[in-house]
Amino acid sequence: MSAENEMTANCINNDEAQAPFDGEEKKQAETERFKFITFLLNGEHYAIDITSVYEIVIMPEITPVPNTPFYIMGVINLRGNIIQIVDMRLKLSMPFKKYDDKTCIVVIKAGGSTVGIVVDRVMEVISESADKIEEPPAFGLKVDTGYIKGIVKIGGTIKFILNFDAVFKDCGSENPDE
Amino acid sequence: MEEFNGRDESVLSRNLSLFDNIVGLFKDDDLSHISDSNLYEIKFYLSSVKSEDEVLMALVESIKEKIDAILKMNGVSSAGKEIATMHRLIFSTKMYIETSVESETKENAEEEADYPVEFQHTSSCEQAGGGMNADLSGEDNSAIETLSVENECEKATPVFHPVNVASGKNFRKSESVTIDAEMLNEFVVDSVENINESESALLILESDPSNIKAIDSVFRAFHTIKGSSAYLGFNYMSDLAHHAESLLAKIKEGKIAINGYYSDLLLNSVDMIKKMIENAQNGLLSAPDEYEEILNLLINSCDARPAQPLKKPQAAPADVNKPAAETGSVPTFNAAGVKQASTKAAISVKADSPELETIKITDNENRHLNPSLKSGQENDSTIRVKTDKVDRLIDAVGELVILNSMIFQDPVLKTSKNYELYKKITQAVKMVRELQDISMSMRMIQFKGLFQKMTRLVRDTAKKSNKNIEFLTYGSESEVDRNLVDIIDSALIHLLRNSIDHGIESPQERLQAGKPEKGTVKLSAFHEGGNVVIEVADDGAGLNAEKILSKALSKGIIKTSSGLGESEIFNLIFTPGFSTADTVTDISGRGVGMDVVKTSIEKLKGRIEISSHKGRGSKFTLKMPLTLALTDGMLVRVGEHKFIIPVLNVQLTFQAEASKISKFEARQEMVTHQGRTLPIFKLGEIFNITDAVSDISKGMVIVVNDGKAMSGFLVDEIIGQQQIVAKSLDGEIKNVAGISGGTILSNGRVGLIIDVLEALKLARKK
Repeated sequence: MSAENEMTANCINNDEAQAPFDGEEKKQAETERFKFITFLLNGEHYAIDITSVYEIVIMPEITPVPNTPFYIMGVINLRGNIIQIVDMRLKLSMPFKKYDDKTCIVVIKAGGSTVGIVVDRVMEVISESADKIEEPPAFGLKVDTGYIKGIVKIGGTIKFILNFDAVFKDCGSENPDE
Repeated sequence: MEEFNGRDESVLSRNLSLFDNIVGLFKDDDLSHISDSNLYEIKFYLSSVKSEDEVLMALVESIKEKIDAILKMNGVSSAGKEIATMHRLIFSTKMYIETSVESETKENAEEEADYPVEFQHTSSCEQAGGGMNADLSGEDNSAIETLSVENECEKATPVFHPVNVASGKNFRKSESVTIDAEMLNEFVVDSVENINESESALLILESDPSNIKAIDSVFRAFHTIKGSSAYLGFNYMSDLAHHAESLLAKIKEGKIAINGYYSDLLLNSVDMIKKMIENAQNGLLSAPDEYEEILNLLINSCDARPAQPLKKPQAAPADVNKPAAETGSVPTFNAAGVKQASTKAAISVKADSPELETIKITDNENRHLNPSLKSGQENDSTIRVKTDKVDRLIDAVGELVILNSMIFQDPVLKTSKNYELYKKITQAVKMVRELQDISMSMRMIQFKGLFQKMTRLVRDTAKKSNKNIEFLTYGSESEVDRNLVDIIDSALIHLLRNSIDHGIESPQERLQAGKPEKGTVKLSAFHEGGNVVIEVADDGAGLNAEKILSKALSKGIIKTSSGLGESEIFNLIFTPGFSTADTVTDISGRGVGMDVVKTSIEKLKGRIEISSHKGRGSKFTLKMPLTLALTDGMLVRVGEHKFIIPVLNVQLTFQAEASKISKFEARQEMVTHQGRTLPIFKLGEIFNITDAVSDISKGMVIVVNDGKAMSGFLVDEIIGQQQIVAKSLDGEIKNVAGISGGTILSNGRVGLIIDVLEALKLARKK
């Protein structure tokens, strides 16, 4: 029974020991870390929250869909699911670049549906605490500022975190260009 | 009960299972067979008990001490009393753990005082039982021996009374049940099943009141609903079910003879419960409007008129009219009209005089209403699976089939000399095909349920419109995709209502026309070449082409009647707002019905055909694909692009000769084929495909029909036909004009499916 008492005492001590740890965890929650996948578009670095990325696929054959906006490259078969493909360069009004072996499709969840975006090249996964993420500057960007959620500076390069929900929000109502 | 907080539930359940083992040693509470080895075993189990709960550990320690004491007593045989004490200690400890587990699960600290084991602590061990109820004065424990365990070594040792042992298990059952979505869902599914079963049994009962099995079935259904609805707190529902059950009990005992009045009442109760289930699903707990009325009728039936003798079905002359009881309008059931040898399912409702009614359901083909009422007890066990899971499975298997054929057709494999591999892949292909068949069959259901519902509908409609109807059903065993059934349902309702309300004449009119007094409505279903065909036929007045024409002209639906063939005139009835009925009844006549039929059949990619002869009746034939999952598609090439055109839309294909091509107003190209001149639309132009052929004679013409006229699509090449799994497109390309969806082709690429009607609209705009 004395052993038993000891056990109980230990438990209480453990609880006390855990208390500061809990506090630390709370502190950590305030400076939550975000993970991003970064990619290259027209020489600029962009980032997307990793939680909205399904997967990255190398360029498969794309079936073009007629009578759609110019930036919609068509659809692909992703293990039986039909995914629409959007060329991000065209969508963000950048010049078109011929696809090469670095060109990738990042399949993401955006604006309530699944979209595959064509990017020049996928770079890396970065992890950044929330306080390192800055507000985007109000002007001076090549891209519509409404599309930028924030910016992260890593080793001198600026990475723009794209807000894909905004990018794909009003697409449905747009008229086909042709 | 602070000291219980933070206790691990798994520890509790482990301790509980240890004690289960210990208790298992005392078979039937017989203590005489307990041996020394048993005691050591118990000690072993006890040493494994670990807990932060001091009370529990103290109990465990006292059991250990008791065992030690017994072992010291030179043999188990002389220690009977001690063993009994130990047994009780063990039992109480187990109870204690059980209640702890319960309190842990329910996190309900206020009810701790209800513990069956009350603890009284000696002064030295107050800390152990701080949260326990130490007051024993109110306990009714006179019959139970109070055990005291000597406090030898300054440990917390409680004195306890095992009370309420017998009821210990359920004394904490909480009164109100919080309904979570899953429970509700389960209830709804169960109840709907039960209610449908009772409905079909009631219909059988109408024709065969002595069918005990049918009564039992209804009884059971109501009973189950009563129980489960009461459990979930749907008191209105359980009340109604309860009174319906009482009425059924009276019927079963023979105190009340079932007749038209009672079966109506019970069917109304069934409807009411259906409504309430629906309400419950939407979170409404209040009673629907006519609830009180039906409930009172049920109560009155049970109480006020308890002693009506059971009227045995006799082979006496038909239409025996038993005097209606004090209500004056209780129609009587007449079982003599049942034709046992009939080979059809038939309801005949004779309602020309309100007091007299005969209803019969005979179905020797198969008593399709409820298989469990048949003599054979084929109890196929089933599991319930959400339909979207099945759909996903079918989709995945569909993809597997395509993937499989991709592997099979791979040039590497075709040129390979590795026959072993070839053999293995052939086998895999076979297996996948089998898998496809199985998965498809999972979604197939028989028409039975639907037909049963329609039988009820016909019965009620016939009654309402005072028609005398014989309702025949054929092919209730035919199978069809479940998703399809849900959609045809509404179409059938409208068609049958129309047949009864407009098609079948009143008995007087029929007699005057030299027809049998009783009208016949026939509902049949069968498979025909990969399609399922449903026919609704009646021997009524038939469609009146002149009436339709004049109505259509007066409503401005058409401008001129010239040049319209009979089938084109009949098709006018599908126009929204069209109705030939002179009066609007609550059954039909508002002119929405046929429109609904057409839209729902179109949704299924099906067709509807009408054939009718004035004075002899009309027949509506619905043809639709067996399943929505697979469609036949024609694979065509336009330039570099490949498209799928649904075969259902394709009338014919041909290659046009250059001499047959003409130009209309120098713009629209036309082709004359088999005496018809068709406008030709180039798919390449519709979809802005630059490398498509533009010379009509160099491509292929696909003739499609949009319901108004025939037109031709020009494509470069027809590659072939294949079965496809149609998928909708998502996101920005969801509503691309002329494209209805996509599919995975056998080469693994996406093929786009052309929406023929939209594409034609698009073409005419250009």
